[in-house]
Amino acid sequence: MADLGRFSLLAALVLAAYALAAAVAGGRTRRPEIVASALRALTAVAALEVLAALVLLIALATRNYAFQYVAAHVREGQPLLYDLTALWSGMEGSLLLWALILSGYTMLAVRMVGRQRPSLLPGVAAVCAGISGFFLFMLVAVTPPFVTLPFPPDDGQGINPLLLNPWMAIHPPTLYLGYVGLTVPFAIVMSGVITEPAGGAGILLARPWMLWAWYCLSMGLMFGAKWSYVVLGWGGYWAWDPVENAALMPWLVATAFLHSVMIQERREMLTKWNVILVILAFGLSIFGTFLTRSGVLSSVHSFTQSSLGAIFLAFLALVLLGAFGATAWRWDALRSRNELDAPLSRESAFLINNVLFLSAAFAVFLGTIFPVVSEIFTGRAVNVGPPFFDHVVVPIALGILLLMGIGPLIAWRRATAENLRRSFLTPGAAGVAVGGILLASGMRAAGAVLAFALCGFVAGTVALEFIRGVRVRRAHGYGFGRALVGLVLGNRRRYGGYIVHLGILLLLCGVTGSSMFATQRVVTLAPGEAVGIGEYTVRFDGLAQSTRSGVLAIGAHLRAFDGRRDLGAFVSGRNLFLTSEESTTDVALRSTPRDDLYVTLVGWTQDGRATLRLLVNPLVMWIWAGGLVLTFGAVVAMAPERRRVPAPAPVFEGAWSPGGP
Amino acid sequence: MALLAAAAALFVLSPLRRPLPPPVPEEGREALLRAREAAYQGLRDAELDHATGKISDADYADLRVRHEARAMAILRRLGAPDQRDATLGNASASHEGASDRGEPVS
Amino acid sequence: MRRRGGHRSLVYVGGAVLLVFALAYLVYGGIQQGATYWVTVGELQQRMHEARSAGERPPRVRLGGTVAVGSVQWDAAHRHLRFRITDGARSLPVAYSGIVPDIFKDGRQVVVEGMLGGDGTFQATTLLAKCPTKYTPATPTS
Repeated sequence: MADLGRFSLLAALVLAAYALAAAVAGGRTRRPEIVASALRALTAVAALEVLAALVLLIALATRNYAFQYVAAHVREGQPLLYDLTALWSGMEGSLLLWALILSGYTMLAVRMVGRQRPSLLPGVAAVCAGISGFFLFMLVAVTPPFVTLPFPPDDGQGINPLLLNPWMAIHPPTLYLGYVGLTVPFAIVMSGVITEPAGGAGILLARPWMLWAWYCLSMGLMFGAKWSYVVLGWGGYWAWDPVENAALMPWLVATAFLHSVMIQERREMLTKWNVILVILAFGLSIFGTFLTRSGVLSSVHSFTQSSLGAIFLAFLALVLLGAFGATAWRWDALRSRNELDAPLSRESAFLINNVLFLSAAFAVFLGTIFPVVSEIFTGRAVNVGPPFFDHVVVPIALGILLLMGIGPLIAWRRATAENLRRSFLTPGAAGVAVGGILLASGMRAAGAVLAFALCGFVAGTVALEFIRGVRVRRAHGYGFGRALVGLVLGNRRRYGGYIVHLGILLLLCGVTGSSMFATQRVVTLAPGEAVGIGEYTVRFDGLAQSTRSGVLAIGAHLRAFDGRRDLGAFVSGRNLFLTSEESTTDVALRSTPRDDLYVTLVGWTQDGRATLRLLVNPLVMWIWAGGLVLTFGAVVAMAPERRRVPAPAPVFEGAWSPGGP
Repeated sequence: MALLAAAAALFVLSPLRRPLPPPVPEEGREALLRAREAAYQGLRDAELDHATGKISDADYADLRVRHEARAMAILRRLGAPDQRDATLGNASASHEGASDRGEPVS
Repeated sequence: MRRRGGHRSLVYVGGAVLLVFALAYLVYGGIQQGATYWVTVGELQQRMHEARSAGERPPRVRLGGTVAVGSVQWDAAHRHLRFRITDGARSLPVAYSGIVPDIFKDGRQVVVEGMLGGDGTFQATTLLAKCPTKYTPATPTS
């Protein structure tokens, strides 16, 4: 079995190399049969990777401890689900998943590009083959998943119990769908830069892929935050950890791209800028993969701790050199024909948006690699923690928030200043009202008041956009419901984008609330005693202990009250894994839209007293709600616009809007 | 496994035996189609922006003229109209008529 | 047209310069706020010695090392933790009051932030235990 797995990967590597060579050769000599052979090779690579993955999955499912990988990630008593998700919880498996997802995307990309812009096909195939080849090389030569043990143990180690959680089960694949998803736009754009620079370099073709990858990254970040919050038990969801930042950076760049590409769609400008964004996004995705695997930033004085890190870095350098080199070579041909019409236009607003997002990405990048950089320059590794990131990113985020409100009020090409001033009034009043209400009710934290006021402003803007749009439709005789649906479906990108903005608003409100207004208490209680926190009272009813399949679970039974109202019982516990001496926390969590009551069991004494850490985190639910709204908006934006034939009937002013409801 | 290797090799190399004609470059037309889409999008945007009150009547009229002129130029080069092009022809004809008569262009 | 273009690019360049300055200002401030020095046990002892002989206050540092096996003492009633942190060669006593993360145990990598006290014990205000990264290549002893 292991032989089959090893063979599959080796064969896949050979075929990927062949595909690269054939795609380049076929493209340059304009011989489609060679390109067809390259495409078939890529299909074979996909099939072989599937085979290898199946071998590993079967080994995991049957707990075949002859495989070193299985012995490391599976153990008796572990639920089957986590045996299977162990496919990606270890290094080798995660690289295999990366390669597999890439092959899947490659298949789809080849079909799409073949249909819509076949001239780019050889280039896309070549780039995808090259990147696949790198990962296959890693799987064959550096981190092979099919190492066998001469003396298989009776039981495995199992995965780290902190990962035995549904959120952690879906978080890596979702994140990979995003990371790997950035490879396809990179391939399309590189192909476009090299073969057809004057034709927009394939940026517009790459756009839907970037949107999809962006969405997957958004969800991956959300799931990771949720896991951190409910499993790790430290009471927060984001720690500016290098691994978290690794996913945030490409997300920021992708967000910038999604805005600036709209300029390119309409004006055929900014091609060079968008090309750079795509290269950056992909580069950051590889960098992120590198960061989460090499341990480079988590320990003292280790730059390339393992050879793995060095190889990834070398690959990244090679890719960036090649990509920027190609772009520089084609610099003149990429030149756009148009310029900005007017400084007061949606185009310029989007440009400022880009600048802000990239500044944020740069700041996060700098903060993340700071220990390495400072060590190189000053000989001393200096770490910058969350205070750095908060200090730099928060003002930028507020700027972006402001822009998010102003942007929709400005027209494409050129906005009339007079109209803009008028449009400002109602949302501006809403923002001021929110700020005023908060100040009047005693909120004194300036940053929070500003953030909420801006959120009010942006919400007002978005609402205004919907109201005005619906009003236009209703003027033509449609009912409210049909007008709304028609408005959204007829302008999916715009209104889907507005819905996404609403999701982001909810998220920012949630972040502001929970990071600035959380309260904490740590107390030791005897059974029957209660403690007050915020508007809640929590009574400790006693400890309970149970053992189940090698896990000793200790729980503190609690009951929460809001004034006199009994809110119910919940349990805060710790699980001690007897064989591995690991422990995890079961957070006692009670979520309402207003706040979360979050209790962790920190310690206990022999005489039955429990030490509890209680937190009241306001508005956390808004963060998760924001994620759902963002999903809805993304789905709306991603659905292809229907090109309906406009009815031959009255050519009213809606002549140019596609179809109606 | 040897069987697998042989099958893969066969699968991958078989296209090479049947040479296909080289692809015809369609670059020019694609670029024009993209430009046409951009022009239509511009008209849609201007229309929606005007209807929702972001640009004044005067600015809208000006933008519309420019977008339509551009679209017309592209259509002439393309030479093959579709339904939307027909609408454009109507609109631009009515616009020309209106401006001839000295009426405000809506 | 030419002059308008020239004027406009001046505005853009000016805006860009302003932005760079603003960003640099933020970054500088952020570093001031957030920077802590990474040190190992050996380095810390040396730096303390230097600082003391120069009459300076000992700086806040981020100390990384491993929890010395058998050195953990946990006072549950008062939530005091005492252990020794080692870099393999030298070790240092650490005192910490507060929440101890789940993954903290003998032999684990740990990072503490705080200052070295006068009595030679490191007073930690923050304690982070490192999750043995799930992405190290599987070895039989990991």
